[in-house]
Amino acid sequence: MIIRFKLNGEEKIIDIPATKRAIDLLRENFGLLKNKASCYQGACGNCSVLIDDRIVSSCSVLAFDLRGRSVVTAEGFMKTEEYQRINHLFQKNQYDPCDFCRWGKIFAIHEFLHSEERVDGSALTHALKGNQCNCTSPTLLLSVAEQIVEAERKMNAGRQHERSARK
Amino acid sequence: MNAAHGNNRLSLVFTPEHLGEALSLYARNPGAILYAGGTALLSKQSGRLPIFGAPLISLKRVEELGTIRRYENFIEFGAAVTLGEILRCRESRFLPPVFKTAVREVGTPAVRNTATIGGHLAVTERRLLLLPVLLILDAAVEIRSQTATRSGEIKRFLDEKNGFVLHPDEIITKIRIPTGRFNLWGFSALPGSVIRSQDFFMTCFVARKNRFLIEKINFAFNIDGRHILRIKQSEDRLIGKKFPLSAAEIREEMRFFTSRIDGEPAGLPLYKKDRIVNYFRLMLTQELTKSELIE
Amino acid sequence: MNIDSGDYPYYVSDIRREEMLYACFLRSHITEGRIQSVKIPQLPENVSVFSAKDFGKKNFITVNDMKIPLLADKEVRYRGEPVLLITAPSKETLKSVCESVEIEYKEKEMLESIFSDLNGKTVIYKTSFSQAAGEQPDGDPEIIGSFNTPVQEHFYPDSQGVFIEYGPSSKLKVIVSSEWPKHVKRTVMHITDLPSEKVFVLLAKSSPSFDGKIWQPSVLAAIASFASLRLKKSVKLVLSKKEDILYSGKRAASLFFIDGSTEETLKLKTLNFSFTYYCGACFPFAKEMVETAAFGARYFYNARSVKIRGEACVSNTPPTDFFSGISLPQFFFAAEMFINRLAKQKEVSPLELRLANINHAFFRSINYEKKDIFPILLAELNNRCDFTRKHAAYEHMRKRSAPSFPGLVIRGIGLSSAFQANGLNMHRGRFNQAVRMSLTPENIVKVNVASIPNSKRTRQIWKESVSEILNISPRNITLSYSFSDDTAANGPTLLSGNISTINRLIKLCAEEIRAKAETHGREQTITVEKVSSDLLSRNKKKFLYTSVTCAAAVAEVSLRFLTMELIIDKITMILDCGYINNEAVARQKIENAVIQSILWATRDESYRNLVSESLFCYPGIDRIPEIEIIFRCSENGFEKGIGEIAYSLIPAALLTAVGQAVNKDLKEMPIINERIFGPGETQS
Repeated sequence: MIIRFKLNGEEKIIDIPATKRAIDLLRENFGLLKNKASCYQGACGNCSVLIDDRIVSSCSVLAFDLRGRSVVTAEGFMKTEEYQRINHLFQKNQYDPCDFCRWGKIFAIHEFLHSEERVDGSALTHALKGNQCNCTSPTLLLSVAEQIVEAERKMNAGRQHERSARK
Repeated sequence: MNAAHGNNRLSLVFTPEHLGEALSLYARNPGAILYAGGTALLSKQSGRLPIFGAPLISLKRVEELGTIRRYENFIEFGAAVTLGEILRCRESRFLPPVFKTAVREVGTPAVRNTATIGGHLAVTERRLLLLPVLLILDAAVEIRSQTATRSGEIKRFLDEKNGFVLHPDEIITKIRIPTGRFNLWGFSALPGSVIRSQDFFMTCFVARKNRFLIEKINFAFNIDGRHILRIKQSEDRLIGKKFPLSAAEIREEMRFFTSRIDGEPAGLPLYKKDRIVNYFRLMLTQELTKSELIE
Repeated sequence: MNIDSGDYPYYVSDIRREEMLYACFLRSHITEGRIQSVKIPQLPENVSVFSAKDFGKKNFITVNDMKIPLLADKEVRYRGEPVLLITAPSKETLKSVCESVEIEYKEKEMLESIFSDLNGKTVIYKTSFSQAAGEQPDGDPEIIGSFNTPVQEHFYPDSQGVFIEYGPSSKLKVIVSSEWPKHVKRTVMHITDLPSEKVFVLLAKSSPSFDGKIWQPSVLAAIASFASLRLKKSVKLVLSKKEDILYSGKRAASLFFIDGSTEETLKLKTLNFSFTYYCGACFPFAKEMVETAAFGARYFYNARSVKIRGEACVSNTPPTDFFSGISLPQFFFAAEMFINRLAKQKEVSPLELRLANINHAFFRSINYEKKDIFPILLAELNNRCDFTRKHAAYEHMRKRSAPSFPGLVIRGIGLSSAFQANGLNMHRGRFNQAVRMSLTPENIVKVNVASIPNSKRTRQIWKESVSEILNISPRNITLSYSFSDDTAANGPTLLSGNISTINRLIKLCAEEIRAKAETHGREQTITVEKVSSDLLSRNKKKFLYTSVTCAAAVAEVSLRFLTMELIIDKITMILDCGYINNEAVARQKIENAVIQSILWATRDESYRNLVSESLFCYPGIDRIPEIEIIFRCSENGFEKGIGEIAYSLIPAALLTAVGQAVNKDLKEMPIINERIFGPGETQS
């Protein structure tokens, strides 16, 4: 099947079996190895990518389902300013998740930042529960995620203020 | 949706864009597998290479199945609307809170962005989280085949094991969730996955309360993702009752309820039955005594 | 290889080459029996099938003097044992071939449980010990208990695997995740008959909790390199997640019988241990495992008369591998459950019973502060958790009748104590770890370690140790890994205690270099090598380990009778940890071990439950309890291992707490709802 989709901002056309899992397509056909394939059941979050700017488990998406959609993997998200801000707070807190779970956590935080959820501990905990890895402390993850959310909130408030001031 | 296992390595995939096309394909390919979000289908396949053994008909691009509309008394979702889209849509603020709470409990954000409401109902091996909630809300579905349309409350389309029953060429097309009917609700689920846990439990209720009187009440339990328990007679008995109930009334309702669940579901360990009974008592003694919530 | 440069290869699963072959195992689906026939259809081009016959007399590897078969020959010893290796140019072809091969078995009758074959078991190692002060106490034991632990797998995200890169002149580059790369090299050389200069082992990246896989990577490397050499192509063999979880090495299951009696003063009069570890189809470290448990049984509690009988036996389950804590977690589960039960029977505080019976003299003798360490730890823990008061209150509740209010929350609290043994030194040098350090006249320090740092922080800690002693910038310090034949290191790196033992060796090297530089100047390169047995000279007694870390823990649980649900509210741990280089890193390590040990204690599927094949899932962040860790450090202390002790502490504390809450004498893991709320366990 010919699949036409956007990958990290670039148009791609590829002819592959329609039922190949998206994670395998990204890793094997495009050499994008930062997202990992682990459970193949949509349970661990290691294969998380953004499809149409929403977090999905790419092991639970088949290739044909990518047609006409926009996929952002770890490699693509690394180029964004949002990633720089998240990574800065990771480093500041000495929070260093392993290569397997890192992107699941980053994308989960991204999803939360762009959701309508109210910002409190329980909602954030809920948003992060889909990531399985015991390489780091869960309490530290929550603390860092709260800092990221707060920093983004302040930044957005600041931008809103600037826009109002300009008007 | 049952996955067929066979020797076909490369499954044929149809991606219709209109409902008529989808229904026609389904009629012409008996045994084809309807593929909405695919989460339930793929979670059963732990290997790298999914094997379906039958053609897939993807419903994701079918225009009519992706709509969200709000009417005066209900909100209608196309069957291929994802659970994530349900939570994010403008209409979500009109949805019954018990339903939104239940949707938030399904899986993880990644799962919700892929799983569809129609697919969620159509899974046959397990009774998933939203089914009892939609039942107690008196939600309705529209089911279509190439030649006919059926619609009505979800309970009409369940078999004796509360599994959704579709004719071989039918597709769930719409789910309609009534709004504004109830002003009390409760939802509780044990942590854990309804698909993976060996001890999963969920309970939910909705009620219409007018000052102290219960005008309508529905409640249901999901046990281990295998049984949906709903005791209609207990519900009917509570209608017209004034809350809080007296101690004698509570005892009477407990006795009746316990007698109705005795032996059903079969083979359930005693502690799981105790759990059901405990929740029923909690509903009687605490939840239904609360003041009405403004929806 | 310079690990400081960050030039690790990718994870094995990330490696791709042109012209490479994928490989997989065809595994037995019967538990035990004979292979009657193997029918292989016409194979497509570039597809090969290897059986035990192809390996001939080399169908084994040697680990710690034990021969371990690579592929099943005539007999199948466990479900999942590899029978064939298949190689193909694509994964699709591989799967297709796997499905077309037919193997016929004659299956033996399976036991219901490995614990049922008490008389017919095959013992591969046994030990015994008996000590009595004065006359043998007579009379029946006051309390008898049996306790068993299931196998343990723990969560790690990347599957085991190996990539063999076939190079010119039959040179093989073996890229593997392994805690024992020296053994991988030896094994590959043995299987392929290649000389040392033609086998190059590279360490692939692995996730931080890739643990307990000591010798199994060597098996994978051996099989894959044989195929690679035969086919003259690169071969990639990576287990699927399901394979890895179901069939790769586990922590051994165990069964303990303990009986004991006390004097009127609460002191133990007799204490008898009889235990069996079930090693699966094989375990080359059975002796170390049994002796470690015997070490714990002999030294942890004092009694006038102590008898120990321990053994390891084979069972028809996947092979066992070394897991964190070796065999002490199983031992301490049983011992601590026993002591808690004894306390309950005698209606005394479990804390008081421990204070009366822990072998303080032993711990004082090996503690550099020469203090009675457990009274200090237990007192602090008691203060933090309010253990004595809560325990008494919950005991009072336990003795009441069953709760009548569905909303009632019943609580339980459990205490446990344990030690972690670091730097295994059995066989005096057999499991040596080594550090070699050189200081050049240009003030560059090269540190060569025989242990794999499991994180950037570990490498930083090691460098900081050197930097502090030699007063050299970390930028001028390079770390490299070596497993060549000229180092004294020969054991699996895991057994060295990793950060702590290596760091101590690094400091020893640096101190000696400093001394030599002060004496002889820095005009020439100074090289020093230290091995782990050098650390033993600090101890007065010749123990099996370079150090022990003492600790205690309290688990607090709630049982909600409304929902029939167990909630683990809090875990509090206190450790006498000597010196901590980086508290944040240490805390993280211990938290992870706590969560893994909770999983061991509560996971509701065992690997034998093959009906339910859902994969092992790590709990989401919303289900992790509060964890408080208290480090008791000493200014003059040295680093001690801390990453394993949670496995010895948490299960017993947890089960005791749950048992108190439901008024039951629980004796085995996992504690699933069926066991907690259902009938079956004895009522207290």
